[in-house]
Amino acid sequence: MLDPNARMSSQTLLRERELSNLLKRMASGDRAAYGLLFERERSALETFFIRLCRCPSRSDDLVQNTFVTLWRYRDNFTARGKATSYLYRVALNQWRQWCRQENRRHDVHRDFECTVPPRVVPAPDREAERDDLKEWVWHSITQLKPPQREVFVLHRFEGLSCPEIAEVLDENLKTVESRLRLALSKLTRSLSARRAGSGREGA
Amino acid sequence: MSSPNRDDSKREAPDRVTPDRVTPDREAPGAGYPPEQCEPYECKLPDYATGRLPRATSRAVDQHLNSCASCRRFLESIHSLYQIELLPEPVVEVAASRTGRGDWWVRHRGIAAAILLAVVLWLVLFIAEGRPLTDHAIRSGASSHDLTLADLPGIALELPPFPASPRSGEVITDPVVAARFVAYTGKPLLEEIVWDSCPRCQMMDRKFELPEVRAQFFDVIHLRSPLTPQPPGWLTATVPREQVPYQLPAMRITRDDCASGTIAGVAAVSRMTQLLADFDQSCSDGALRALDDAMYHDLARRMVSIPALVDQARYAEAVVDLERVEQVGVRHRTAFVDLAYELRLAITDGLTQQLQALERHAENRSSTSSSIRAVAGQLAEQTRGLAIANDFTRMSLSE
Repeated sequence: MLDPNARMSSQTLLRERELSNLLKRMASGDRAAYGLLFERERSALETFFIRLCRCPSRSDDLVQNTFVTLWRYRDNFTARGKATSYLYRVALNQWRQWCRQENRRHDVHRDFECTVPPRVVPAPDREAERDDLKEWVWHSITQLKPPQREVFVLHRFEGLSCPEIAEVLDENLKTVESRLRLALSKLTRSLSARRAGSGREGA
Repeated sequence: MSSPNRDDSKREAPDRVTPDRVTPDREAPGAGYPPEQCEPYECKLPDYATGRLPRATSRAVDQHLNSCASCRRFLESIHSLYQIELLPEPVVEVAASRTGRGDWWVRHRGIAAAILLAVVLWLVLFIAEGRPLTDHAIRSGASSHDLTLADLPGIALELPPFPASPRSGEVITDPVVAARFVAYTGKPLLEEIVWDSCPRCQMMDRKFELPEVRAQFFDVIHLRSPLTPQPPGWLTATVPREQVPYQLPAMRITRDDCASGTIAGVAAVSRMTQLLADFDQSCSDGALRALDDAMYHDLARRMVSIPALVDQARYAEAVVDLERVEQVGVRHRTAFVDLAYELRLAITDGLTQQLQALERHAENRSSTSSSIRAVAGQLAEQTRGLAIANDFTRMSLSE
């Protein structure tokens, strides 16, 4: 099924409004608002980072850094753009900083290559096969270049449209669309190859 | 999986279309467009597939899809990809060895490259240009054909001996040493180095950026979220007092205090965050004060030494000092700029006299005239450059 949050639901609007309020209060130095913000967004951010880097302890660090940054540069928040975009932007900056400072862009790929070998042979029962497919897709996602992975994760899991992603990333809409198209082309190609491989194995 | 914005009846009976007009009677199944024509539509397909496309754009994509088989295939593959249940995500722990110290050179290859570059620059500049050329070159019988600008008394580029090459992570506290470093490498590092003049502030400014580095640097600092399995304490920060000029009280917040983000736990995090922010701020203020003092003393020292250098006709050194004074003086001590302008005029005068003397010398000695003229050309260029800079400064001052 497609992501149920794909359309801007009333729940999303409510979240946006609450988040905006909290960020505004935080910008004026309200620590209680910061506490609430932490409480509400922590797990969402944690999941977001896990999808990007697939490592719980790293994403813990990244969540921690995101909240420290939010507080430290709280004056930078202006109520002009969307609050969720602002939050994603801060979080993505942390992820990029992590990639850059640790110089791990390639290392991350290497780690995943070592630790998650794709398995082409179909598993005996349907559930195991589904897990297998899931693992395959996640492996393919980790093979994407970080900019493409960012865009894909925001589109597929965070339910953002291309214009919204462009706002978050502060990029041209065409650039975002093009990155997403490339990411999807790679993923769908990988999926077809996998299915073709399974078909041959089955035959 | 169907998209809310797509008209399925049209897809069932696809028509050949031009990109902007549907022509139902000329349908050819599987007919497509050249890739460059499909690309704009392919870019819209992800939002189209998830129903997030504006209606007008969606209609245009509909029309294109009716006639383009490859885009239809791409759309179907997006659907099938998005239909795969991907939650919960399988997570992978990055191998522990990646964070170890063994691969320092791999992780910091940028720093390693910078160190190597600095060493090479130092070798080139010190060995090639920093040798004492003035009298030695003349006494050792350098022929007039080998005559260079460095061989002429008073114009030689006499740079002071280079200090020991800074090691990685070494803090240069002496602004004069830092200035020399910049003079040799030609890199605008001075500000950065002087900024770090307080090693304690540098520690805080630099090291607080990364939790892992933090942990290496300080005795006890653990910053972990409650989800980390079996943390030593949910959030513990102890900064050794002797290493920092300010006191950061040790705080210990246990996991029970803030399980599931209770108010007490959240308040404790906020408190700790505020403490760290205040601490950073006070360190930065300290660094700024130290920087300002160092700048002031450095500028004052240089301003005093420049006239002496001019008297000795050591113009190259005087210019290096002067440029530094002008560069920093504009931002820190505007009063220096006027004085610097006077000094610049003095240097130009001195150089002009040198040039005239050299030209007279060349006229008298025809045998070495060509090489001397070449040197004179360089000198003239330098003088012209200074004259232009003087005009510019004069204009800036008069505005």
